[in-house]
Amino acid sequence: MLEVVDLHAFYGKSHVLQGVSIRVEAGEIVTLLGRNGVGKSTTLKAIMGLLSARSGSLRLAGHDLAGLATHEIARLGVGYVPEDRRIFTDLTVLENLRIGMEVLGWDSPRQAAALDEAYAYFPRLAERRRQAGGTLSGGEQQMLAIARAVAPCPRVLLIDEPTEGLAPAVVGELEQAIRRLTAAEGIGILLVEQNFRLALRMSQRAYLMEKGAIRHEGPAAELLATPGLLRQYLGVA
Amino acid sequence: MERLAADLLIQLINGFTYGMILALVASGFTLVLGVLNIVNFAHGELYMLGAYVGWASALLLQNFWLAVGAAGLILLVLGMGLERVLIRPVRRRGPLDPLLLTFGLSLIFQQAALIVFGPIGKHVPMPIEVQLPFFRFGYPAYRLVVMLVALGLILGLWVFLRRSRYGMFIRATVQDREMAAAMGVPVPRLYMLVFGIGSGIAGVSGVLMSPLFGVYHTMGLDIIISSFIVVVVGGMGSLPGSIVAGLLIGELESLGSLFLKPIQAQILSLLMLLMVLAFRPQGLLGRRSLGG
Repeated sequence: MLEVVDLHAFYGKSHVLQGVSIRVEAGEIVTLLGRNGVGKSTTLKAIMGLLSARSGSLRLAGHDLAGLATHEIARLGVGYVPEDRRIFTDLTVLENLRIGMEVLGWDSPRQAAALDEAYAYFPRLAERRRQAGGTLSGGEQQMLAIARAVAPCPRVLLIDEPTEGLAPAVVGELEQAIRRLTAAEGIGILLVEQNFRLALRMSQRAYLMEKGAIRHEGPAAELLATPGLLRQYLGVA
Repeated sequence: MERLAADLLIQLINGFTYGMILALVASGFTLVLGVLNIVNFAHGELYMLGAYVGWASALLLQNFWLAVGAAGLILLVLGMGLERVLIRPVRRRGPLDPLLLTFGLSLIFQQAALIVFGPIGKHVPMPIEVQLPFFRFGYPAYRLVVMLVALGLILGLWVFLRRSRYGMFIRATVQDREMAAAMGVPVPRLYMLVFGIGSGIAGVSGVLMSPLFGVYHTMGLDIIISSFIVVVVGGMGSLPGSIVAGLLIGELESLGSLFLKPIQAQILSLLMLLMVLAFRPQGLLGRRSLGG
C-alpha cells in the first residue's frame, strides 16, 4: 500500500538517505531498526514531505506522493506520530483530536463517531478532553499524539519512538492500542522504536538500516531468532 | 483647577480611543508575525492605503461606514495578493528576505501615495457629528464609537481564532507549523488568508482614524512605531496583551502630551518599551500563542 523505492534525502549538503526502499501493506506493522543516527527518523520525515530535498518514488494506494507538500501527503492518508509527540499544547485535547478531521471537512456526526472510537482506545483522553494538551502527562501526550493521527482514518501511520521515556505500564497500554489499530482498522504501520524486542514482538516484518540505507529485510520472528544480525546492526544481542 | 481636570479627563478618553486603534493595528501585525514568522514592515503603509481607499470610497459611496467595509475588503484582497505573488516566493529563502521585501514595499507604497494623492493631507468629515455634553465643552461621540468598533473587531478576531475551524488551524500553525502541515493543515493557503486578514485589519484601522487625523502619505509611519511598541510590550502573539499594552501606550502618549510635546510623549512609550525588554522580555501577557 505504501511503497517507497530508492528514497534519497539531504540535510543541507549531507546525503542522509541513500536509497531507502520500504513497503508497508494494509493491517501490517513494519519496524525500522538501526543504531542512532542511521536515518530512521529521517526516513519517516522524508515520507511525510518534511525534508525539502528528496528524490525517489513514493506511492500510497495508487497516489504518487513524490513532489507533494506535507499537508497534501497527510490528506491522502499518511498519519504522522513524531518523536517527542509534538502535540499542540495550547489546543485542548479535543481540538488536537479534531484538527485532522476538520482538515478533511468531516461533519459533526462523523467526527463524533471517530472521537468515540479514539476514546475507546484511550479512555483517559475522554476524561481530559477539555484540558489543554500541554497539561497532560508524557504517557497521555503519547496517547494523544497517536489518537490525533488515527482520528482522520489514515491508510498508513508513521510512528517514531512511541515508548521513549514512558513507564512500563504505559508502554503496555500503547502496545495493545497499536496492535488493535492494525487489526481492527486495517491501518498499516511503519514503526521506529529503540526497544527492538518490543518492536519485533509487535511487527510482522522488519528492516535493518545502516548509514542511510536498508541492509536487511525479513520477517520479525526470524530476526528475533538471529542474534548475529541484531548484534551487527544494533550492537545488541 | 476645573480646567485641568477637564483636560485630564478628555485626554484620558482620547488615550482610550487611540489605544484601542493601536491595539487593533498591533493585533493584525502580531497575527502575521505569529503565523508567517514575518515582521511586516509594510503594515503601517497598509493602514495608510486603507485610509486612502476609505477616503475615496466615502466620496464614491457617500457613506463612511460602507467605506470602512470596502477598505477592509479591498485591503484583504490586496494582502492576499501580496502574500501569494511577492512574499511566498521569498519566504523560503530565510527570514531576512521577507523583511527586506516588506520594507521595500513600505517605501514604494509611501512614494506611490505621495505621487498619486499629493503632499497635502485629505480631510475626512466626522461621520457622526454628535457632540456629547462634557463639562462646559462638547466631546465628539465619534471617538467613543471608534473605541467600541475597534474593541469589537479585536473581540471578533479573538472569537474567530478560538471558535472557528480556520482559527484552530491558525493556532496550531503558530505553535508548530511542521506538525500542523503533517496533520493536513493547508499551510500555504493559511499564510495567504492570515496576511489578508492582517492587511484588512490595518486598512479598517486607517479608515477609522482618518476623521480624527486626516489622511496623508506618512500616516503609516506615525502609527507603526507605536504599534511595534504595543506588540512587544503586550507580548508577541497575545491579543489580550495587545489590548492592555495598546491602552497603556495610548494613555501614556495622550496624557503625556498634556505636559510634553507629542514627540517627547513618544519617548515615554519608548522608555516603557525599554523597561519591558529589560525586566519582562516576553511582554506583559506574552506567551507564544494566539488568542490566549
